[in-house]
Amino acid sequence: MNSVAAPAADARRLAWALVAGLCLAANAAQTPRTPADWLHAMDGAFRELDYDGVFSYYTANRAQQVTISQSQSADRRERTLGYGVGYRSAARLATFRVVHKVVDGVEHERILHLDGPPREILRVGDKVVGLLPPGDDFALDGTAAGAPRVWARRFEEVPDSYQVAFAGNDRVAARSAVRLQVTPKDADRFGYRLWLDADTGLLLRSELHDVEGAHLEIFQFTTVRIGDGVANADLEPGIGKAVRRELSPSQTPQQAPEAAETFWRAGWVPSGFRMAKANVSQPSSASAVNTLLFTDGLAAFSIFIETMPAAGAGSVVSRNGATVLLTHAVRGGGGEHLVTVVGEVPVATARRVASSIYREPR
Amino acid sequence: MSEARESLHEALSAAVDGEADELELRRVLNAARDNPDLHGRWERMHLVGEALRGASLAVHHRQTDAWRRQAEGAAEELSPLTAQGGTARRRWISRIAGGSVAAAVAVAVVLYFGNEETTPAPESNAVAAAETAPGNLAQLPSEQDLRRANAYLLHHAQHTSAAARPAAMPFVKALAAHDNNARLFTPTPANRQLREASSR
Repeated sequence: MNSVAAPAADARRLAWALVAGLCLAANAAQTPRTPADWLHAMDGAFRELDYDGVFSYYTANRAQQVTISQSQSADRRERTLGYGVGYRSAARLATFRVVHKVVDGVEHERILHLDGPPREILRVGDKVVGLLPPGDDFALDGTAAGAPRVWARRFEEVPDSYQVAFAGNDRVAARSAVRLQVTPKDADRFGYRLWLDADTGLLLRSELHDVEGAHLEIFQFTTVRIGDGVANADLEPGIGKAVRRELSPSQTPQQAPEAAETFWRAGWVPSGFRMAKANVSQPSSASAVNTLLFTDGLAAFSIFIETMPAAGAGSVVSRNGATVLLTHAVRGGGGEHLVTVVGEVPVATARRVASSIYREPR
Repeated sequence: MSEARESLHEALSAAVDGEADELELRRVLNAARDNPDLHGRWERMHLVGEALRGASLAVHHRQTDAWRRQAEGAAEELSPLTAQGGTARRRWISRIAGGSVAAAVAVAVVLYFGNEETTPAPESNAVAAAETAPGNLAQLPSEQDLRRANAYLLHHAQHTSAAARPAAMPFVKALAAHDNNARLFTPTPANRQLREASSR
């Protein structure tokens, strides 16, 4: 009776408890627990998961505005010209579809530009092909394909320069998301807010903001399908009439990384930034370009140093989203040289880096 | 010259609408400064006023030395009636503030990105001091300069995929950068005529 049934019920309960326990344990092993774990999960998710989604990419440009004004006195005898400087924002929004699938261990990716000219970029492993409408002059630097993965993700260095913390749960692209707040420890880099898919760690939304909290870039999936259901057919190119342009590394044999050691150095970089790459390359232009690349684990900037062109060079300062570009000239080290700093750092930081560039005596 | 005048007008309108790019605006300033005929016309035709109908005055803000010099230079050139650049600015501001101006017309616009931060003094670096010193850059970038800048932007975008972006981002950024910069190199009618006008 009861005494007979009871042990059986207990055994069932025990079995369920065991199963539940095992599930929890398995779950705990898979689900990232610390904010740093989530960053690692995000990195892996982009490369290892199958997904098909539409995302928007917004860049805010805080353009400086110079207003010259002409005023005239009431009696029309006197005219004055003055000027003021202010800011206006010039935002830009672009929409893309991305299809990503790992087939036989090889990443396949297709990116479709949904606004403007119909462009597609197809990637299989490190091989990249651009499908562009006839007459389109868009070109990628062929040496870059596949390169970023080598060094860019140094999450172990992130805690040196940023504080990473949970910022609650949210919902993005109709999926549950975990929010992370990545706060820089100084004013020499930008901060991030990240929304990661609670199930898979895939980045659903990211915001890049400056020290005042103003948005510089926003990336967000509006809709995304993750896992099963990403069809091979969706990896097929969709543009009928297109110019096919190979963008793989083999396209630029003249580029020989580490061909020559560079003697150019940065006298100052923000704390936490380490040199990831330094080489002298021979791009299409005649003179050699020394390239130095620094990263703090999340942000990066490149420094390009070349002999000053015979015609000289102009002063350029531009900021597009989080990316700043500015030029600087240095005299010495065998003539005048042009320094260009490009990266996701504040203008003042880039300028300080640029003005610290020097050539080490051989 | 009516073509040149029209192109100026166009460029200014574009500037007011936020459509003009840096190169275009620099050409406007240049054209007005370097070409006495154009500059005369600019004033006589009240081109500026027409172009900026309804535009509000920008808030006076921090500015770079380079731009202060350039704008003051332009102000001096454009307005033989005013005193020196610095005082012209103060007078203008006081006039606006005092409300004694019958016709205050805002003129040309936009231009530079960034610069909101102040420039810190360069780090003292013994080696750098011994070996290198700051060189000279022309105030105005040429098309060549902007092309080079664009190439470096692309290079950087592709070689660095910041972690908080999808793997596809280098390409996305490259595409976005291309379209942002394409205008600089596409000779719009206004752009082309300005170039011709300013080289005359």
